[in-house]
Amino acid sequence: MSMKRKLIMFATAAVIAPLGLVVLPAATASAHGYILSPPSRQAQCAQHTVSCGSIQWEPQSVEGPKGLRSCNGGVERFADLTDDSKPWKVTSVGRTVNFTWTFTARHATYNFEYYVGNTRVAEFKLNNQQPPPTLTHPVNLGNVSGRVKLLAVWNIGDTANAFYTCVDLQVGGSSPEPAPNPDPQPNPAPPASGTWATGTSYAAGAVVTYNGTTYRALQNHTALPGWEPPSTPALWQAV
Amino acid sequence: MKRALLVLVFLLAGCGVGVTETTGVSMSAQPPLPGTFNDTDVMFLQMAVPQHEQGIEMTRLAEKRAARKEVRELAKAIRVTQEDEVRQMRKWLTRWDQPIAPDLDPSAHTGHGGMHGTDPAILQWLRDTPAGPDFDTRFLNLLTGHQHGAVELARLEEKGGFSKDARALAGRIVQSRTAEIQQLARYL
Repeated sequence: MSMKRKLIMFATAAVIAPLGLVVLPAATASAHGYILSPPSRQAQCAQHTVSCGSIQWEPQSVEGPKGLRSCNGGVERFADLTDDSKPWKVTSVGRTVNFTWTFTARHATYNFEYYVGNTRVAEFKLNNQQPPPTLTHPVNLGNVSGRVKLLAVWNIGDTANAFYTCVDLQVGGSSPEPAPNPDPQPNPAPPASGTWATGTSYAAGAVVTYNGTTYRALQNHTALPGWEPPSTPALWQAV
Repeated sequence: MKRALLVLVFLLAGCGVGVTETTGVSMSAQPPLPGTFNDTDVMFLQMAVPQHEQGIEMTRLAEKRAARKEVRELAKAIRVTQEDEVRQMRKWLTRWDQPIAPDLDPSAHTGHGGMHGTDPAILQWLRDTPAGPDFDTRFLNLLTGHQHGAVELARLEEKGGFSKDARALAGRIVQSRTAEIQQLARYL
């Protein structure tokens, strides 16, 4: 091996090694939970009903100190959630609403609280138990009517933090204004050429082209971004 | 050459190996050696394999028990794509001479947001749920949470990983899981 090659390798190792270290202390929030139904604001971001920033990747991570009354839990990078002018889909409901949570980590729980404005309309105590895998709270909204922004707070039992999630509701009587059309964004045109397209439902045996190669579908599925034929041999076989 | 590569691999392996010495010479323009990787790549793969396997079990149950055809079809498509990914990830770990099983010392992962997997009790709960409409709702809800975990994990790799292949896989995981979550919500 030449000296030059050795040097290059040493230098590369020196460049790489610190990279490995830099990421280690970068603690990230770990997984948690949010209201999936009726669709909360972060659920709508995750589902691309509404176009949002980083909240779309981590709808379950709206974590802040207890006692706040804000949709983003005071987290600056989730400011989208506090923006009432965004085209949030409003769910029409009656007096009693079932709120269903999805969890990615089930923390020991002090309670769940539901607020309309500054009024607490419901509380569900868990006495520091873990919540069950999915959880639905029937909440009676009492005298509240019309368009409301409901805030749900999940207070963790063994930390000073809580999780925040807002749901836009039209309570009773008249139906809400029709939801504006979802952003026409979801599928930025793939740079690839061919007939394969996300959102298309393909039956087994269907034939597409992708970047000059022809593929046959091996099973029924709807094409999703990230499931391009060259990287999903279980779905597509080159022919 | 081979020996030197092994040494390099050794230097990079393991969680939190304290290689801090640098030459002080800026080599940032240096292209990476093919096949090289860092701690984040290894951890990502080691954590993603069991995370994927849990998802495979959940979707397998749904293929058998979901009441609706579209839910069964989506479950199957998710399962087979994840099985491909697991095969690929195991291959890389083997090629890099790294164990498939993650370092079980919990402190090894504290900076990485935990294991991103689903609580075994949740899996058991789904196993115990008989076929029927109730199963569909539970499955859709649980897999949504589970795939969020996969996105979190893949984003760690996108931020801190080094291997081009592993980073590309992470990018596809973020994209496909995000799209799956939208699809799951549509069926909920």
